Amino acid sequence: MTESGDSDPQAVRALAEALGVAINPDHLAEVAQAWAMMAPHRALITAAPLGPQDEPAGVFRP
Amino acid sequence: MTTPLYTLGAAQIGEAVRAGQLSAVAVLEAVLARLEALGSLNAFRVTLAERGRREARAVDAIVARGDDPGPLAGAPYGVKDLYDIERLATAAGSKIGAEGPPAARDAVLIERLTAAGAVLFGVQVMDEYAYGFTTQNAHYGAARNPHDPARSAGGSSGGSAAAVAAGLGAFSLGSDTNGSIRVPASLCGVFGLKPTYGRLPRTGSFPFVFDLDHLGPFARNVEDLALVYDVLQGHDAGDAACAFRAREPVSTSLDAATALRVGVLDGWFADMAGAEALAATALAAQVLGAEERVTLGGAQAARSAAFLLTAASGGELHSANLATRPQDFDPATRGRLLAGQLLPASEVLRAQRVRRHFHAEALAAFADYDVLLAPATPCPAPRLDGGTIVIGGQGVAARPNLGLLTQPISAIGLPVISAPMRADGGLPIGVQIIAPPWREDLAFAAALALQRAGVTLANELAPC
Repeated sequence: MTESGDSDPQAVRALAEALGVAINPDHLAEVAQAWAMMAPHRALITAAPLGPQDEPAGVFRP
Repeated sequence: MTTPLYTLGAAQIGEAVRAGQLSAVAVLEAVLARLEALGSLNAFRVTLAERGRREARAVDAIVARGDDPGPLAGAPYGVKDLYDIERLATAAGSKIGAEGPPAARDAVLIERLTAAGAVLFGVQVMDEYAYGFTTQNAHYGAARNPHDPARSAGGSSGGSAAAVAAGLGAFSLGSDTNGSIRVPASLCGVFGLKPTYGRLPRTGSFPFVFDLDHLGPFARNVEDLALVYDVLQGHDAGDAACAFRAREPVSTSLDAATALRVGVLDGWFADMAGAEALAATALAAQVLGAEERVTLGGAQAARSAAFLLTAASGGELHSANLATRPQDFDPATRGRLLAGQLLPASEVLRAQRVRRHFHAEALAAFADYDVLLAPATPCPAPRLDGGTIVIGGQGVAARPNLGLLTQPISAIGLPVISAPMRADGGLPIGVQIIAPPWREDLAFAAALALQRAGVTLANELAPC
């Protein structure tokens, strides 16, 4: 398990600007750290072996 | 020497108060005095002494005139800081919420407890907006573990679990989006129930992730957990996700437990657990006669799906305040919420599909088992000043990772009881008893078997 990912604050700032998400420059480092923490999780779900029957759960009904 | 009233459980108090052998006011005063003595645990953000006294007097008056106040008569309790309480702002652990308008009415679950005679006396500390597993809060401080105040109570319902472990209430209410009942129950040594998603109405509680949020109780023994759970059950139209199901009481049939088919989860749940967690799970398995191992290959991806959905949903929920007053957030939650807003829609949808895939895998396993066991946390309570835990030989941040064994299960809405065991070093650690959807009764049966075997911390107060 790794927690490392791209934590470049300037890359995160550029992404946020493109999406219209306002980030105070004083808070950029903590956002970059959190963004990096998500990297392994994003990779895992991208690699998950899904089929057409695996519909989005949405509001979940167990 | 008489038994201190703050040590009594909810069922004990209810029986004695209804029989006129004990005063609800006397029980409440004993708990308020203990709260005064143990204030340094920081389990409560607000004490509602006057409301509690008013409710306790009302219960005693009902008994005095020969009527029945309900099964929880005089049982004192607190709620996590995200339940609406009439005339009080619902802070949800935040500065922003505390500055908001007061709630017009109590949360539905509080209304049900009041109708059953329970006595509300406080609001319990949590991670800001429930986003954390350690209850370290920049605005209101950290809830301390009553087994060792230098250690975390777990989170995000840390105040609620710590209170019950310390005798500051006979039970409490928390919430569990990714493990926020089960993690603090594990670290504080109390029973915690996360019911099936949609079982209990969330009407009048502050949300975090709409399709992962669950409400549920903590208690010091299985009977109390069942009694409170039964009072809480029932549909309410105020929560769109609350199922149209009749109440399915468990407290009246607890003694009717039949032989259970029990499996032990391995793979992710064993690989990420430390020695104490594995030993506690092995002991529970031995008592329950579980010999077979079960692998759910999608657990790690389901945990990741929950991790991402939480960031995305939480970020969206708070987007307006993040844009206009980010300085008012706890720095520990702010970065994660803002990062959640950057996730692509395609990944959010894919995370939902991963949940569905894992759901199908888990349901297939229940064809062969009534309940599945897994550690609730990878380790006992970490120190508050450390900030990290060791997983698989690698140090990782405690706040986002203490729930890595609970997240896959809440991601698919299964009912779970965390049963408190004792780790080798003396600190508590919980074992998850996981049941199929709507079969809380099976989890209760297994939890009762563990309690009766004497391997849990049932009815033990933390040595604080």
